[in-house]
Amino acid sequence: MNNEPSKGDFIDELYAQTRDEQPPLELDEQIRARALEHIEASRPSSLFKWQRVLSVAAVMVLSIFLFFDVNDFRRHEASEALMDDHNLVVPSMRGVQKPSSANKSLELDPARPSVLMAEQGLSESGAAPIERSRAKQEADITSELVASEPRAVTSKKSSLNKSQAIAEALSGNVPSAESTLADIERHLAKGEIDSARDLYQALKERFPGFEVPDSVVENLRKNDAL
Amino acid sequence: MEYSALSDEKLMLKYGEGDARAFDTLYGRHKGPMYRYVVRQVTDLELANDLYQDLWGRIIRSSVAYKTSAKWTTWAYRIAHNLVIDHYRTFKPVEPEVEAVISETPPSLYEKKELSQQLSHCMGKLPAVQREVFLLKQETDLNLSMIAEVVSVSHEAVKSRLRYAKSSLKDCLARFGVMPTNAVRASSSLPNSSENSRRRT
Repeated sequence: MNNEPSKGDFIDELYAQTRDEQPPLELDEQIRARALEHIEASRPSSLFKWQRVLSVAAVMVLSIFLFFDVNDFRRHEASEALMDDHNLVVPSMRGVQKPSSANKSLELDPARPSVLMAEQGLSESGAAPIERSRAKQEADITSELVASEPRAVTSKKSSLNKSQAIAEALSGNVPSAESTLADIERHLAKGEIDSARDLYQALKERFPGFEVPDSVVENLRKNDAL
Repeated sequence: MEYSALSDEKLMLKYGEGDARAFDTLYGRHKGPMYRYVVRQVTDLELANDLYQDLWGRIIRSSVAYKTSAKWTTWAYRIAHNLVIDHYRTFKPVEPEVEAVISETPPSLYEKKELSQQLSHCMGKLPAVQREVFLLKQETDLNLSMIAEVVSVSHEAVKSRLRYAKSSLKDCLARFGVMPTNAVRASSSLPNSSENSRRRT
């Protein structure tokens, strides 16, 4: 049995005659215009496409930069730790916490003022006239450090020195006992006793088993370096 | 590409991709039935036009997210149904008095315009739920199950509403003197009467 009302009954036929009602033309136009507007609005503009491409590229560049920067920092930390193990002064890549080898002359060591003077080309005897106050010395050194190694404007040269120092430290290329001994002899010959003494102490610390020739030891003793 | 051969669903998807011609085809196909569906449920013509515009506005806005999970007609008339329901919630419609209609009945009852007017009056007298089901049946190609889906009632309820609607319309028209034979005779004299009517005559 078909439950749906029979087709073709007179109500349906009557209704069919009234199907001439249509929306007003202006309403048609408004709706069509609205449909077109919607298409335009939902279509992404070329500018928007470029913005998306540029932002993706910028994020990628930033990510790569951060990746290498973090790796560089870790490598430096490792090299610093290694240098510390070998009792070496290394150039700091993060700010000016430690003086670099290039600025070794600026190192402030209250226990050894003579080293500073010697490296500045001053003799022990001529030290008296240039005895400066400690405060002035500190101020000068700080200003020189800040001027020579600000983090934001690291020069190519300093970065090269740092790279070399790191490479040396990583590869274990520290001065050998023989070369240190040669340096000691050279300082002794020049009369740079303090430098010779420092190097001797460093040699003993680094290479405790190394036998220093008696002549060198004798020479050091003669100059009250031991 | 022959747009008129495409299904409603395909046209809607194409419009969602930015094809304006697809919308034109879809709109041309459904504007009449949808307009009548709205206008014959809302007595105020201006308000009906606003609702009709709002209906197509909603269809346009939903075009991007449209998915062919259901027949397009079911989906679109569901939107229309919700709009009309919202309208009824806001404005309670005033049912026309049948006596007043009878008193205004013109002598030339069987002329097309007047016959249509009588049918419109009788439809306006129907309860809203019956009128909606009757309009959906007349204006769309939806079967009873689909109509049930649109108006969110059971298949049986739709069948019952439709039967009551037709019965009420017949009674109403009979009070105006419009009987099946008269109606057929009247419709056969009209230029755009259906093939069935001619055959009956």
